[in-house]
Amino acid sequence: MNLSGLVGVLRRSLLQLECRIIQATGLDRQLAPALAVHGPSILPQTHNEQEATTGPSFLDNVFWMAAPKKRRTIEINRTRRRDPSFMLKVKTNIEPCVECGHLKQKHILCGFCYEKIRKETALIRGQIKAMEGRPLNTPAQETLVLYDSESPGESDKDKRIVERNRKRPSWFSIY
Amino acid sequence: MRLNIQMLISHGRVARKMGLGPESRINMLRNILTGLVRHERIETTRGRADEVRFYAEKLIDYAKKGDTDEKAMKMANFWLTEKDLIPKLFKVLAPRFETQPKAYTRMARIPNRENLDKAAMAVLEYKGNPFPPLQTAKRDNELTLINQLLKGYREERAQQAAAKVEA
Repeated sequence: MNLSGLVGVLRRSLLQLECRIIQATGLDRQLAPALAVHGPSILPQTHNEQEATTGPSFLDNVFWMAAPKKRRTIEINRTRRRDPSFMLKVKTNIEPCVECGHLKQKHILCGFCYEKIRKETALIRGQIKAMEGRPLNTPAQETLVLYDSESPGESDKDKRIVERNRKRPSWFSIY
Repeated sequence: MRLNIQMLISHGRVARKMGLGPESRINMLRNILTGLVRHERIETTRGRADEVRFYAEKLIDYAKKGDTDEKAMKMANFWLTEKDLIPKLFKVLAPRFETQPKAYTRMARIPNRENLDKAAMAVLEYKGNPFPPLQTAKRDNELTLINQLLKGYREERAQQAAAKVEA
């Protein structure tokens, strides 16, 4: 009986020794991988990783935008809308013209009075144009405007006389 | 010089920008000045009238030197595009302002132009022109009490003087 036991022990110890020698020499390891798969290099898993690393975009949440907290009451609205800076400004520089009574601004000539003067000036210029005949014919002389029944004086000898067939207006004095 | 915000922003530069550039501005002012010398009273926009004033007065200063002066004639030739005005300038305008040292022009503001642009207008004239005056001298209202009393006093004095002469 001991003989079979002894043979068994010897066999097991010999197998163990063989395993240890193979481990020590490194002959049990093989260079080829255990499992090889043919497929795309980019696996679908990497997309999720990229998105997760950049974080949430700027316009994702609407919570950062300004918004009114409360309804503006009609009293507050009225005080804002009726603020004097938005109202029409009252002009204090309007006054009636002394001569004709039309309204004028203080620093501007009366429109009515100036219109009278302008019309008369235009008529005088019409006379001058008729006297000159052709354009670009200005004489080197002073001009004097005379109305009905007026004659030139002593100092008006060298001037050219422009006649106007009407009475002298009150606002066009000689002096 | 008014110390205002415009002066601060422009750093003291007073010449306005007009037209397409400096040359265009001078050409425009030259045309207006020729018109002023011809007609002696013109209506333009306020800015242009203000700019032309300076040149109009300088032209008179040059004209006062006389038409034999080389520089004066060159200036008149440049600034007056219509050459029949050069004798008028030297023989009419210069002698007119001989006694005056400075202010030869008068500028008054007018109500805005009637066109759509409602431009601010001004009338510019040489003093001593033959046309009706723009502003009559302000006379006190004769109907006030003091003026009526003074008028009565003047008439009384005139009557007394006439009575003395008769006697």
